[in-house]
Parts: sequence; C-alpha cells; structure tokens
Amino acid sequence: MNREKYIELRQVTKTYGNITAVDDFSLNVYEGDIYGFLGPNGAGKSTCIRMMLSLVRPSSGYINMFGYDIRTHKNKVLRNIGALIERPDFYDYLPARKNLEILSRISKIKNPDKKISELLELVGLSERADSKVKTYSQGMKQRLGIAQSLLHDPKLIILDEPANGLDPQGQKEIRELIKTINRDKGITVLLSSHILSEIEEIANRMVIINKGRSEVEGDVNELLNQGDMVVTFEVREVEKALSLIRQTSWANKLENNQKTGEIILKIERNEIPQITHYLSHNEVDVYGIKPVRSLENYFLKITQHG
Amino acid sequence: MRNKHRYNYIVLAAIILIQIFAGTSAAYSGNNPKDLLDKFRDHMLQVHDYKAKVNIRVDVDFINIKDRKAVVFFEQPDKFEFSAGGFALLPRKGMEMEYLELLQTDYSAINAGTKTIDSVQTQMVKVIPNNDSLDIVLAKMYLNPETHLLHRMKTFTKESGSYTINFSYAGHPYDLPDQLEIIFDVKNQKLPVSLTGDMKSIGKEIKESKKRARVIIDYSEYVVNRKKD
Amino acid sequence: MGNLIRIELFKIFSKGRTYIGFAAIALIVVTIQIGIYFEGREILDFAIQHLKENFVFEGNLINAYLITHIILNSLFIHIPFLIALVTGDLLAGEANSGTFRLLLTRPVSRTKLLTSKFISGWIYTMSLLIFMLILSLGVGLAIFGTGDLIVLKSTINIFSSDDVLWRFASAYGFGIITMTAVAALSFMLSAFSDNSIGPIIGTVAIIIGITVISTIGFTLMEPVNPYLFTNYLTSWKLFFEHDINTVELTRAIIVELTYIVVFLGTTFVYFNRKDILS
Repeated sequence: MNREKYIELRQVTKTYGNITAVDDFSLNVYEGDIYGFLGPNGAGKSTCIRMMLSLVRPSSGYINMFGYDIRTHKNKVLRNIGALIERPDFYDYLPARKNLEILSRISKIKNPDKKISELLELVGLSERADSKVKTYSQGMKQRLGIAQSLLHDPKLIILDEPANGLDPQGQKEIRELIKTINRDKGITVLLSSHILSEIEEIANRMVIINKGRSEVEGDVNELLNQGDMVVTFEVREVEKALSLIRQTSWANKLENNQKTGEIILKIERNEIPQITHYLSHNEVDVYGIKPVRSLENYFLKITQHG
Repeated sequence: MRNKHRYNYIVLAAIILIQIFAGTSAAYSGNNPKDLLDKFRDHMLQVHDYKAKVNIRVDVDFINIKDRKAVVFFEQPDKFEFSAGGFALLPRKGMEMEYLELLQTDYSAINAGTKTIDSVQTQMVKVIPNNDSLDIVLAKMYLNPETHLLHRMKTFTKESGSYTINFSYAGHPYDLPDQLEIIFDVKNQKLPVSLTGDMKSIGKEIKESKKRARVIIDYSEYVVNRKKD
Repeated sequence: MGNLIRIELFKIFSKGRTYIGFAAIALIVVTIQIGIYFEGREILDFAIQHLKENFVFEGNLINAYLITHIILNSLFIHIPFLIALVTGDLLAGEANSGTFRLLLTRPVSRTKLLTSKFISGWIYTMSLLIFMLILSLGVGLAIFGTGDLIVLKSTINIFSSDDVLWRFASAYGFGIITMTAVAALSFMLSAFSDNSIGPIIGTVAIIIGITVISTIGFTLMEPVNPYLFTNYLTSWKLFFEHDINTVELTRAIIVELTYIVVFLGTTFVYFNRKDILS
C-alpha cells in the first residue's frame, strides 16, 4: 500500500474536566479511502472529527493531516478538507446559494458562481437554490451540507453522520452521492456512523471506536468476515436440540445466553449446513437460521450497552 | 387756634417720622433733595428715545452663558425692545429708566447721608412714592450733587423683590450711562432629572435657594432721539 | 480581511434584528421631535420659570440643537442595548446556529475572523450613532431650524449657535469611544456564550448594575468609580460646559480605551483557545 496517508491520529486523548471523551485513540486514513468511522452514539466520534478540523484542541497525542501537524499548519490542512459535522447548519435566514457564496468567499474560491451551480446540480438542489435554508427539509440540508464541503475541491471530505435523521430513501441517496464523489472525483471520504451496515455498504476501511478508544481498525471485508460467526438456529424442541448438540464436538461452541425457541452457536460459516443437517436428521425441525458475524455481534453488544 | 395747634403737631410728628425713617441724624447737606431729583429727572427726560448696542454679561452661578451682543431700543415712557440675533436674557428690571416713572409721580424724598461710590461723593436720597399704584415702594438713589447724575439706585418693590443698579458714565452728551450693573436675587430651581438627564445628580440634594444675580450691560453707539426728530 | 468584513457586514445586515436598532432610534427620535414640536415651549418654560420672574428672553431655544442634545441625553441610555443586540450575537449567534462549524473549518485564522467580526460590529455601532445624529440633527434642522443651545443640568448652560456644532461632533466622537467599549464588552460576552440572549442581557445588566451600585453605594464605591468604564458613559456631557474639564475628559478617554483593550484582549485570547462544541 503506497497510497499517501491523509489522516493520522496517534494516541490522541481529549478530556473535558474529568471526563475523558477520547482516550489514546489512533486511526489512519489513506488517499482514496471511504473510511468508516464507526461507533455508538457518544463514543467520541465527533470529538475526534472536531480535533481533526482544529475546532477542538487535543489534550495530548498527535494529529497529522496530509503530512502536516494540524497545530502548526492549520490553514494548509483545512484548505484540503471539506467537512459536514453533525447537523448541517447554515445561515438559515439566507438562501442556499448565498450561503455557498459566503463560504466560497471565505475559502477564496476562484470563479465561485460556476462551482456553486455545479455543486447544487450535483446534490440536486438547483431548483431550490434561491430559497432560504430555513424552508429546507432535513434531507435537503444534508445535501447542501455535502455541497458546501466540496466547494473548494478538497482532497478529503469528513462527513459526520450525514444520513442522520433521514428516511431510508434519503439515506440511500446520500450513500449513492458519497460513492459518486469518491469514485468520480477521487475524493477521499471519512464517514462517521453508528450503523455498521451503512459502513459495510460503502466503506473500504474502518475503525470502531468505543468509549473513546479505538477497538479495531482495518479493511472492512477482512474485519467483518474474519473469525467465527454467531449463528442462531430457530427450533421448536429446544431441549432436544441442545442435548443433541451437547453430544457432539459443537457442545463447547454453545453461547451462554440461550433464549427460548433458539439455540445459539459460535461456529464457522461452513458448519451451518452440517448442524442443520444433523438436527433435521435427528428429527428436530429447523425453522430459521440467523448468522451474525462476530464483529457485527460485538458491535451490536457495545451499541446496546452504550 | 386749635387748628394751628393740630398743624404744629402734624409737622412735628412728620419730622419725627422722617427722622426715624432716615435712621440717622441725617447729615443734611443743605440741598433740597427734590431739587436734585428734579434736575436729574429733567435732564434725563431730554432723552425721548434711544437705540444702543449692548454687551450683556450675566453672572449667576447656575447660569453659564457667554457675553451676548444685542441692540436695545427704548422710548419714553416704557417702550423697550431688544434684539440679539440669538438667545439673550436681560433683567426684567433696570433697563427702562424706571426712575423716570417714579420721579414723575407724587413722591416724598429725604436726604439720607452721603456715600462715596467709585470715588464720587454722592448724596443718598430716599424716595417714597405717595402713589400706591406703583410697584416701587422705596428707592434709595445715590446722586452726584455736582452733576446731578444718578450713580446707584436701590429699589424695593412690591412684586419683584429688590434690585440695585450701578451706573457708570463716560461723558455721553445726554449723560446716558455707558455701563449698568444690575444686581438682584433669583431663585435657583431644581430641575427634574427627566428634563436634564443628569443621572449623576440623582440622590444629590439641590436646595432651592435665592442666588445673587449680577448683570453687566455695556452700552455703545447710542443713537438718541432719532424717533423724536 | 476586507473580504471577511464584507461577509460579516452582509450577514449583519441580512438579519432582522439589525434593523430593530434603527427602528427603535427612529421611533424615539421622531417621538421626541413630535413631543417637542407640540410641547417643547411648555416644557422649557417650566424648566426656566423662575428665571422668567427676573429675566426677559429673546431667541429661538426650541431648535435642532436642543433636540439633538435631548436625544443624546435620552438615547445614550438605550444605545448600549441596541449595540449589544447585534454585537452580542456576533459570536454567540454563530455558536447557537452551529455555523461556527462552517466558518472555522475553512482556512481562516480565528484572529482574523474575530477581527473582521468586531470591525463589522463596530461599523454597525457607528452606523447606529450616525443614523441617530442625522435623524435628530437633520430632521431637527428641517423642522425647527437652528438657534442657541440651552443645556439644562443642575446649572443652565447656554451656547450660541456658532459654538455648538463642534461640541456635538466632539460628544459623538467621545460617544464612539464609549460605545466601542460597550460593543467590546458584549463581544467578549458573546465569545463566552453559546446563545445570544446571554451576552445581550449580560451587557445591559452589567452596565445598569454597575451604574446603580456606584450611584447608591456612593461612599463605598467612590474610590472605585473613577476606574469603572460605566462611570464615563455620560461624560460626553463634558463638552457642554463653557470650560471643558480636560483632566476629567482625558481620564475618561484613557479608562474607556483601557477597557476596550482588556475586553478585546480577553476575547481574542479566550476564543483562540476555545473548543468549538456547538
């Protein structure tokens, strides 16, 4: 992998008083990535993103963006980043186009009118460009948020929960938009989310953050498909099924938290048909099989506890 | 006989009263005060009207105003006009030759000693009008017996308190003064904060009190009896 | 920088609240002018009734200068509130609406942003004052004409009409300094707050609070008073004396400038280190 490293966070900690929001956290984003920044709500994602954008000062640790230390080369770094952080807030007393004009003037963009029209077209807001933002729906604001992040042709955009508050259709549109931006414009994307499936669908690499700490980082497919799966077999005669399993080598793969009407096993993928066959052969009918990958299972757990 | 007696008593009583009123042993200089006053009055009556430029200096400790220039016009007996081009305030009393009105009615005059005013030896005459309708109840007039000119007049009135006028002369043909100094009392007035907006005065007591006002009027460029001619 | 100032001014003048100040001034000024048109003479006569016993007057005292002076008197109490309405919103408003995230993630230093914001707020402050001057003097001249100025205080000061304009110019010049201090105060409070109500109320509360305390607790506050910026909010009146107290005036200017530096310095230091969590 000889792609340029765009973002590097190394052992970054941020405390507010005696609350530790981010704890010894590290991540690495490379050129071309759609990087999933996954964690339950309140895990510290936004704080990390704010530190990358120098909105918040880290208490300790090191943040390097495009090879520059953010503390010493803030403007150089920000020139290459577009961002949409949390809610897509705008000067809602002004029209969308005016908002983009103001922002492009701050970023000193040449020929802004053309760029603004182009972006409004891209995010599908051309027709409403001259309405005040206060009249916009949440989805329109999100799309305007993405448009403003692209104003100055950044190398990297950071999108913090861009699908938040949208209906499934809106979420899908945003995902498609992100893919288009990454594929057609070659822009690296850091995408934070608390939904694994969203990350899985569009990201190539990811990190999971929980309680301010990085739990695991790597290739999305590798991370998700490595190791055993947690498989739930839906059966009518649970006791019979359990005793059948306990007679085999799968006995030690039974999960502890068994529920009524189900038996849960931590097994490899190719063992699913073997167990199904074994049970039905012994006259235990299998009504359903729910395979959950272990990372997914883990993430569900931390999300529920978080 | 009885009548003559009564007459003597009245004269005696009047003399005693006059003595008491004069308050002193009345160093009577020998001049009849009425003669002196008549000479002065007749002299001043030659001025039927005059117009003059004035410089007004108001000296009251709660009024701050710079000297003002104005043009005044006076015509016997009591027509008085002034124009200043801007704002000006003049004393209500003292500029209208009020002594002429007094000296043209029936009055009593008593010599009441001498006084040196600005190195001029003056004769003080107390003038009491016998006519009740006048506002003036008593005037102390200090006249130069040589020139018959009035140098100071202290006037007591029914309605307007008392005021003093000092006259200075610079040899004007009609012996009109080149300067008047008019001294009287004014009431200091406490103004509501809503009017002044002076927040710093809140809580500070400003007593309504009588304050001495001094107005000095310098005359120049007299034009006399232009209207009469 | 000019670019940023233009943007900030555009934002300020795109907001409805900005025009509240102008509307309020217009309303007060016109009300005062109407009031004086109908009742000015009566009020003035009342004010100088004792003098009328002993003096005769000439001249037009109900004139544009009197009105301008009365408006200065009554409005300088309200202007800080109108200033805070906008300057208190400069930073807190962005925090409240979440737009700091848009602004501060662009390649622009916070110092530059703060400077341009304060300058824009200051320009707004100036425009309020100029608006007030033009309206009170201009409309006053049209309706009432000129004349000598009577200033009613614990004393009565009268200035001839050719001795007045420089006093108004100086009073406004001094007013600009004190109002800049007010703007700097509310700007500082604005940096501390994430909603604009706080700085607006805070500015007014601080000014009124300190003024009341220093007036009521007079003996206790006496040693401190000369160092309070609120003490000089009405010192423009020094220009309406025949003998101007230059010692007091110099002190007033030094104190006000010191507060401006302190307020702005605090704002810059604080805001440059502030974590943007809104």
